[in-house]
Amino acid sequence: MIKDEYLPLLKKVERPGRYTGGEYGCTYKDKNAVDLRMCFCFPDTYEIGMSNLGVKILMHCLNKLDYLWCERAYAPWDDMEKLLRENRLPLYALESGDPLGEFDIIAFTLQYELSYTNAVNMLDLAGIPWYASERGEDDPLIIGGGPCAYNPEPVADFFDLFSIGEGEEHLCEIAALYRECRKNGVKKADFLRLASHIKGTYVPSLYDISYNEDGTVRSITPKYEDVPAVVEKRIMSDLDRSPFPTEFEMPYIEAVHDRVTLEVFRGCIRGCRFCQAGMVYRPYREKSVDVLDECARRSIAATGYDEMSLASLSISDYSHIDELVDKLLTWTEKQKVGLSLPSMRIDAFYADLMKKVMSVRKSGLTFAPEAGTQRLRDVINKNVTEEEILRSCRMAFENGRQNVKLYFMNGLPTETDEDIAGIAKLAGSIIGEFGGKAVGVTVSVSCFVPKPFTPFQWEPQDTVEELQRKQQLLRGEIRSRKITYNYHTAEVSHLEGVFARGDRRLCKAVAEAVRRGQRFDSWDEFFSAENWHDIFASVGIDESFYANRRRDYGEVLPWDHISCGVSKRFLINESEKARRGETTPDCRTKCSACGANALGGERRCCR
Amino acid sequence: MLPVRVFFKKQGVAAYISHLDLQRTVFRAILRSGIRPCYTEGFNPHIKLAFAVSLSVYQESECEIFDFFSEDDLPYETITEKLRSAFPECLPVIRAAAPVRKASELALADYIVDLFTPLGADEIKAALSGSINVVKKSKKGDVLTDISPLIRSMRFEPFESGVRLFLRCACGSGEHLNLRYLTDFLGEKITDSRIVRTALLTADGETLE
Repeated sequence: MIKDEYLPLLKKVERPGRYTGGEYGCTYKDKNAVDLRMCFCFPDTYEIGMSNLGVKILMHCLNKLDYLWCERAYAPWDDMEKLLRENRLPLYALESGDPLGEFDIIAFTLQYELSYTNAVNMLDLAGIPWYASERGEDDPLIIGGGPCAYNPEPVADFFDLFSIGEGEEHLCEIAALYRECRKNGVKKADFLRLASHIKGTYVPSLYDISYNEDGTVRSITPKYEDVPAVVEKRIMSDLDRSPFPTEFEMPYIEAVHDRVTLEVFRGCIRGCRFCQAGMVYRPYREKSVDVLDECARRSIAATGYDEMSLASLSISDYSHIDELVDKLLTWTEKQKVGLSLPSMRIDAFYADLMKKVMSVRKSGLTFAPEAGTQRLRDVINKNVTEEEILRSCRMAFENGRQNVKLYFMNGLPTETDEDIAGIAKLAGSIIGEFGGKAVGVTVSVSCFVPKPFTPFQWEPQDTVEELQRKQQLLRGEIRSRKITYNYHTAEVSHLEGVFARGDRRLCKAVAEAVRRGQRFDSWDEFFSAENWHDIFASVGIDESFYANRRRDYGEVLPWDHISCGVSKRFLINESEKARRGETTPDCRTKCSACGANALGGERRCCR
Repeated sequence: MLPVRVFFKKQGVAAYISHLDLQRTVFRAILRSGIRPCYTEGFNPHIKLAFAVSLSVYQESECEIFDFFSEDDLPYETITEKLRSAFPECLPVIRAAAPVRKASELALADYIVDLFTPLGADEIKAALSGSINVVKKSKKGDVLTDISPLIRSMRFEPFESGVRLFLRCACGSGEHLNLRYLTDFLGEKITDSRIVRTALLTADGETLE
């Protein structure tokens, strides 16, 4: 819980409930009775961090170790940051209230590129040296993980090691080794060398990076023979046996996702070519219906939530979705627990399932056609047709919905103005089809950001100007007042684009940004395109080199020494098929030999 | 359907959560406790539950009350035990019992207010004698209101960091004084304050049971 000396600050900040700790369900241990103290840091606000199931799962795994106590910390909002600095009070963990500098291990989850500045700023607020090379034997070990760790190079200098892939077992193995090393007086550098032998560990300081004259990476070489040339990600092979939390910290203030999140499967059978999650979480692995039902019951009983969301990448692809929903409904209805199924695929969406989940509470309906024309949907391998989209909307409206939300992207590879106009046309035909009723369509368009480990990792991102031109073009094409049009700020996506495929030289831009006070870059309140241009210019970084340049297949990519299980050959093949406008069937229909099956796994679709 | 009145404290870090957050926390704690509460009928069912009175953020209490209904006829001791285990540490349940008086009979509340100040009890007393005009925000705009008639009694005592006030004032759905107005009124005279509600009373001065 927050310590007394911090309490006077709480009357001067927005939402003081972010900073108190003391939530129901927290794990407390005797700090003098454990060998290792760890803090899990979420580099964004409390409300966002508390919504993250991954953090809950990992903390559960770590706190099961009797020699370790794992606590939580979040990025303070700028009002609190200012007060902490003015009063020279360090950032603290919510359970013990102790400053982060006193911990042995600090783990950051890197969920999105725009939280990098927050992560480094949190180190600063804790009085911990930013750079791994500047930290001594007594400073905490700084670990990174999460989806951005698949290309951790833009923040590599700040971390001692990265956990690649699913961390349930890996983090515990790292903790065990660290404990052992500390007991025996092993120096941090030697520990890191030993840690690199544990599968899934990437220690940036153990690799030399050289560059070509044109600025591209020439080579990534381990400094020692025993350090793996390629770090392979970790997976949990049997999700039914994977640890699932039995206790949950219950926020006093409202979290962004304030409900039970039930993870149904990992991976995705679809293979949309823009989607990093769909590639890096392969192979597709399911939990069984009985285990899910048990987890759901336990979670509801332990939290008192009256809402549960079945979360996975494309929930209707679960091979027993009907059976699962029926089983859950046998008790959720009685207990007035509402079920929501986000991320339904349009093609698999059907009335029965929808009617079932609507029985307790209504929630919004969102579909993601992603592109406005069939041609472009084929390029990105989003295998849905206009007919399917219209049919799903009809069912939604016939079942009493008044609004559907459609997600699109602009800036996709090969996109033409015709594809942009197609978005307006598609929304228009939905309105046209159901025009007699008071229905509305919300069109939400984000800007495509090419990501590592996708078939589009070699593609140039559209420039900010081009993205903005397309956004205005679409605005002009939308005629009906029943269509609400939202779009993302192109500059934000551009910044994301720079970092997503960045290399180690971007660390200095992150550091300079933190020095200049950039934080919360994913928040409109704080994002500043101008500041970022200045920052890049001041450290000699050419943004377009990272965001808007086409790479060829032969180029050494900054993340080539990391493996998510999907082979480069498969990605090249998919990239070629995209250019030809050819689709690839889902993994269940036909294996496309991506290579992830080599990682193993129970209840998966690949053999 | 069993009517249940729950007496609980709001202390420590719970002082930093709003009434809305408190409500949500209480709903969830009831559901965690395993007691089956009665729900409102209707399109969007929710637990039938009413707080006797709200308490502002930054304020603590020894004596908060909410009423709800249990589907099952359980002994109140059992309900108390179940609730105790499901509430967070800073919202300890004192007991659950059958309501004696109606919650709407609530008319007064006692408070202890610690004023952190270099001033003495006499100076604070002088500042609070006579009318206490504060700006109340309302839908019609800001209104200057004298809150002194809402204060029924006031006693001053020095303590190590300033002055301790023992107050009885109007509380409930009729006349009501939020003590934030009092500390706001003192403004620069105090550096900080701690407000603790110590009793909820009916108009005749009886504790609301």
